[in-house]
Amino acid sequence: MIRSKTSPSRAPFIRAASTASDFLWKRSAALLIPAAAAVFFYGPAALALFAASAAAAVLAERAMGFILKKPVPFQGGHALGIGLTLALMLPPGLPLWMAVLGAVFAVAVARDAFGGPGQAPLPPILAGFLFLAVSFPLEMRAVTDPVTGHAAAHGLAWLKDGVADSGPHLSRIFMTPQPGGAGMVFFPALAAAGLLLIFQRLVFWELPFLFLAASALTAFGFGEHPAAALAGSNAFAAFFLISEGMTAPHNRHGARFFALLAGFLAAALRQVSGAFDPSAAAVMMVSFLTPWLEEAGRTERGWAPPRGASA
Amino acid sequence: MRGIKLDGKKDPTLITWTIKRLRQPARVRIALRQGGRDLAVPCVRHDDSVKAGQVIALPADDFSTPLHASVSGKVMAVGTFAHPFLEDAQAIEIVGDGRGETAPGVGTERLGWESLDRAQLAPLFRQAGLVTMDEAMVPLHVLAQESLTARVRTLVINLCEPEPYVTSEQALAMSHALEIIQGAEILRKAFGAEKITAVLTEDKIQAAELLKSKIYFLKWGHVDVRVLPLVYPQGLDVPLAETLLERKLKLPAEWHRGGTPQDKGLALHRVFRSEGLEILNGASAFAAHEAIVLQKPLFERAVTVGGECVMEPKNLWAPLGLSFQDVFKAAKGLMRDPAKVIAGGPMQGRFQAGLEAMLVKGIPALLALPPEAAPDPAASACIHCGLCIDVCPENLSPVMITLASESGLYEEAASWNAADCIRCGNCTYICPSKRPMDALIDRAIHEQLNSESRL
Ligand code: SF4
Ligand code: SF4
Repeated sequence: MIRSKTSPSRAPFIRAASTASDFLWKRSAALLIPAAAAVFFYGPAALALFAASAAAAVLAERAMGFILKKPVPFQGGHALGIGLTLALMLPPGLPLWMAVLGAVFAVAVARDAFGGPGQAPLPPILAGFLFLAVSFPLEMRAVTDPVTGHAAAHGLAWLKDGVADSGPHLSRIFMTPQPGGAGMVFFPALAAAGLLLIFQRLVFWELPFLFLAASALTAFGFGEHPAAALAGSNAFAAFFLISEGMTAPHNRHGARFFALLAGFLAAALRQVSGAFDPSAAAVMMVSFLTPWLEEAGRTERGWAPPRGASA
Repeated sequence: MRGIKLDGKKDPTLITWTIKRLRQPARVRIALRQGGRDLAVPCVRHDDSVKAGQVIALPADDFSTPLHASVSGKVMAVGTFAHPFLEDAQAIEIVGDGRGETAPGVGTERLGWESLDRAQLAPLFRQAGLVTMDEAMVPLHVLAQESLTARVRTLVINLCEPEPYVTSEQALAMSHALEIIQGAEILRKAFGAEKITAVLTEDKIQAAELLKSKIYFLKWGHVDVRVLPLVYPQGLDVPLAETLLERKLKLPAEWHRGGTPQDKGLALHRVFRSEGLEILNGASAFAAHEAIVLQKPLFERAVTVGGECVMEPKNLWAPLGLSFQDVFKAAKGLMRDPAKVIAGGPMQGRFQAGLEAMLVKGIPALLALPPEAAPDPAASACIHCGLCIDVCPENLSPVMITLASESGLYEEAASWNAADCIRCGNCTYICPSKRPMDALIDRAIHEQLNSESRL
């Protein structure tokens, strides 16, 4: 029989220039915008928080790499993203050692012990956050108003308090620094970072959009102003949590269901509990459904047919 | 269609439209098997003098075609030489005499060629050694015979040439537009097709206009020209057929199994034909014109010699059987050691381990790429960015197929329609984690086919 030549080197021979570490580093770079806003409003304490969490995440990764004898994936870009994102969700006054603990847990336990990036059932960032919320509920709840410096209710509850009957001032949502996770303090910073991610195509624009739309509708259903969906932790979740690739389903319909469901749940949870970050909790809960959503979002070929298909 | 805007890198070989002739080569080795399934038996002996275009080997079966000397000179030997696509191949070695003589009759116009009919054309195709001028190299007389029992509505002349670096079709269309149209008409008759559609991508708008002007001049109402958006893999035969038919095709198992290039090509042509299409490239139409009108058998072809390592990238008329070494020499040689030598384009072509292999009929380009252009990146874990999904022309989810295949879950991979993959290479190209998508998809499909054949 005549055999066709097989060769270890096969087409395609050319590759796109961008690498996964570029991808992850760019994501981390976008996170610096809300981080800068946090430092502006909370001062050096916030900076210390970010530095501690990011450094802890990166070092934990190195240590795990050493112990498990595995190379460091993505030149540290993935761990850095975890450390930074987690820090942005923490209250700015949290003791640094707690932040360090959370970051180490997220990277070393929630991610690497499960086999590395993409293998863990729960997104590492959310696992770290959950770990801290359970271990240190009081500290995690202690947020201050960035303007007055006094203890305050968490972002969305704060929003509710302030708008008792007259309906919220949109300016209160959009332009006033809000209490809550350090990185959620200033909406314009979050929006800028989100748009940057979308324009760099690091995030598929429909997901934040659907998440926020579902959230706004649900809020409206509960008698809130729909714009409340954009406040603090919700905008953060829309841009940085649901689109964190490893969480959402890998077919577009599935990802759409995921965003819608998480958006709905985020607004609904807020009604029943003002305690922790309801948006993060919503994303976390929906993450467990990923395999089913993936299944439900399947089309004949695995992916939605192109819209307005042309040649 | 989803796809990628690849950096074309076509300019260096398009400085002029002229396809350069090279000096008479010192030596050629003409493979007795061009595409794996065919076989020709030598009918010349050591020391015989031959002229270009003279028959040197006769077909061994109905599928095969005769072979012709591509230079004038003396037959040296029949030996085993490196083949670009097959593991090893017998070839006839001819040492050129530098005189460039052609066999009698070659190049003179055939009287009454316009009135040849379907029954007369197929044997002439065979005599001239015509094949599809892509890697498949399916003999045209075989396609013509098979088309007798099918209804071919449209002959598609595919001039899209979607791969970077490769410009031999474009140069041919710019320099020989009329010949391509007339060749297409000959092919149309041979396949009993009703009309001809020439298809180009939008970057070749000049060539499209040129073709249109020739068609206008000939007053042929049954020929039209279509220009498609430039997005890879548009212009490979399968996505092109899918665009023209406005639906997705089911690819045959023979094609996935991947025997010899000719087996794969034949299977694909059968699928196209069952949809009423016959798809051939511009070089095939040109070769048909040469063979039928000018009585010139297929012994040379236009080849793009390109890539960053080539001193003077250009399009050449290269005699078949020329070694890759000599092909590069004709472009002033290589200015640095290439990381990869590729027969064909960088998205679909074949890796060449050395420069000894000989040119066969189905090689439109020979590329020498440096490591920057053709890297061997290390793979890392999937970051679930979804880019591979965004670029898949078949609307598959390459990430799900490959993740399943990686963990040995071949049934799961099959349930994500791995078998609809057309191996365009887009997902491998785009993946930022540089995962070996193509190899994983291949593995998934082969496991699926194996388990199906066990049933
Ligand atoms: S492009 Fe690569 S990294 Fe991105 S989802 Fe696809 S397989 Fe994963
Ligand atoms: S899965 Fe197949 S068809 Fe889709 S991009 Fe990858 S190679 Fe191309």
